[in-house]
This record gives sequence, structure tokens and C-alpha cells, in this order.
Amino acid sequence: MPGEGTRSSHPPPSGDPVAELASVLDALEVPYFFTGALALNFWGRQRGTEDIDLVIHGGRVRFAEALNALAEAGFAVDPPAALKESTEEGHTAFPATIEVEGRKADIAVDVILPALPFEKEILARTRRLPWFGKEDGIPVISPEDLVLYKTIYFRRTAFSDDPRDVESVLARTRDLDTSIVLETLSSILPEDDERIEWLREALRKHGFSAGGGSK
Amino acid sequence: MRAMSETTSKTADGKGSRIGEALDRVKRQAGRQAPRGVSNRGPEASAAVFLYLLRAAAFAVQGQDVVARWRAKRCLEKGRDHPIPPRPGTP
Repeated sequence: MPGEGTRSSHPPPSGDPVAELASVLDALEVPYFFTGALALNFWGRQRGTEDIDLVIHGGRVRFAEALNALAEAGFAVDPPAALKESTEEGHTAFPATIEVEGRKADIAVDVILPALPFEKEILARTRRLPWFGKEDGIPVISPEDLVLYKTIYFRRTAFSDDPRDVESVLARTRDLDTSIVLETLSSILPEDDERIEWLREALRKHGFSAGGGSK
Repeated sequence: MRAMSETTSKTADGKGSRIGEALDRVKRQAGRQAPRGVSNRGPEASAAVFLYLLRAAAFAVQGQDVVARWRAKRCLEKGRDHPIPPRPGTP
């Protein structure tokens, strides 16, 4: 498993939307974490992405406050429209600018309203990991919960390969607490759901006990 | 549409870009000690690799409406994930 820390020795890059998002949300003290490809790069395989996935907790009022704060900080987000879209769809998105050596390009920020029944536990298990120019790092979904999300969603599309992502986390993260994943899955999926059996098989393949625990 | 899980170091006209070259360098460094695609890099290197991948993806679609691309991707994926089915006996 990668070691954890909160300080990066790399110089802070300019135009880094991850650091800018984290700075705004930290200042607001709203609970949030990064997930998706960013988290996968920490816990599993390297995978490119065209968006930054961000989950904001605290309910609709805090979600609206976060959108307002991001707009005030200069992000191109329309808070009322974004709140409406996220309420209806569970997600909203806005562009953020990346700047490298004076050249600029946009990336989408995918903002997610928590919807699963165990989201509070996921928030409590987030890890702060190092990020450029962020002394206290950024909050990232735990490897257990990344496996949990991806086993539930189990997408195989042109853009997503959740089974492959899960296997990459199992291959790389040696002290994964699989009991958290298996117990949560068992509490929300039928016993004979094929995803549970698939995960048990993947755990065995990567040297974990399929009944829970670490390698 | 290009698969978002792949990041190319080539620009649309087939020429390498500066971002692509930097990305290739980082990927070579990050992968040097990694057996068969399984990386043993630490969190700082992970952050560096992700940032390069993010930058490469951003410049690969430079000038395009990234939110429209995000919506198109969401639309294509809608219904392709597995919802949580009701547990047996749940009304």
C-alpha cells in the first residue's frame, strides 16, 4: 500500500484545479472528498480522465454554500442551476481551468451529491493524501470504499471498466480491510448477487481472504 | 469519441506535444520499478502522475466544451451501471 503523508515535496503548480477546489472547500469547512480516477491513481492503476470527481456532504444547504463559495472563488459554476441539476440527477458539472506554462485548457469538475445509504461511513473513512501546495493534503476516498463503489456500479463501458479498476486496487493495496467491503455489500445486495461472488473470487485471486481481512 | 480511459501523447495531427512528452517521461519513471502494470509508487508520485494525466487529457480536448463532453458521457453511461436491487422480502 502506498505510504500516507500530508506534505508534498513537489513545487505547487499554477492553475491546478484540484488544489483550488480543496482550498475553497477546506476554508468553508464543508465535508467532501475526491473520488474517481484521482483516487484510483492513489490506490490502483494509472488511468487518464477528463474530469475531477468530487463528493460534497452535509446536505443540500451545505452543498449550496459550497457551490456559492466555488462561484465566488472564480469557478464557472451557476449555483442555482447546479443545485437544481444535482438534486434531479445526483450530479452536476462545471469547467475548471488547468494552466501549464501559460497555456490554458479546461477540465470538467463532476460534483456529486451523496446518494448511497452508507455515505457517512465512507466520509469518515476518507484519507488525507499529499497534494501539491496543500500543506494538509486533500481528502480522498479510502481504497475500501473505492472498491465498494466500483463493485456496486460495475460499469464496463467505453469510459469505465470498474472490474479492472477494482482488480488494480486489490493488486496494489496490500492492507485493504476487505471485511468493510464485504459486510457493506452483504447489507445492501441480495446474497446471490453476482457482484459479491465476483469480488470474492477477485479477492482470492489477489491473495486476500474472501471472508474479509487483509492479505 | 476517444475512450477516456486512454490518454495519448500525440496531438490530433499525429505530432507529439510537449505535454505528451512530459507525460511519457513521468510514465516511464513511474513504471520503471513496477511489475506488469502494477505500480508500487508512493502517494506523491501518484499525485504527480495523476496531475500529468489530467493535464494531458485537458490539452487533448483543448477548445472543446468539457461540460458538454461530460454530459454526453453521462448520457451514454446512464443505465449501464448496476443499480442496487431490492433485497429479497423488501416491499
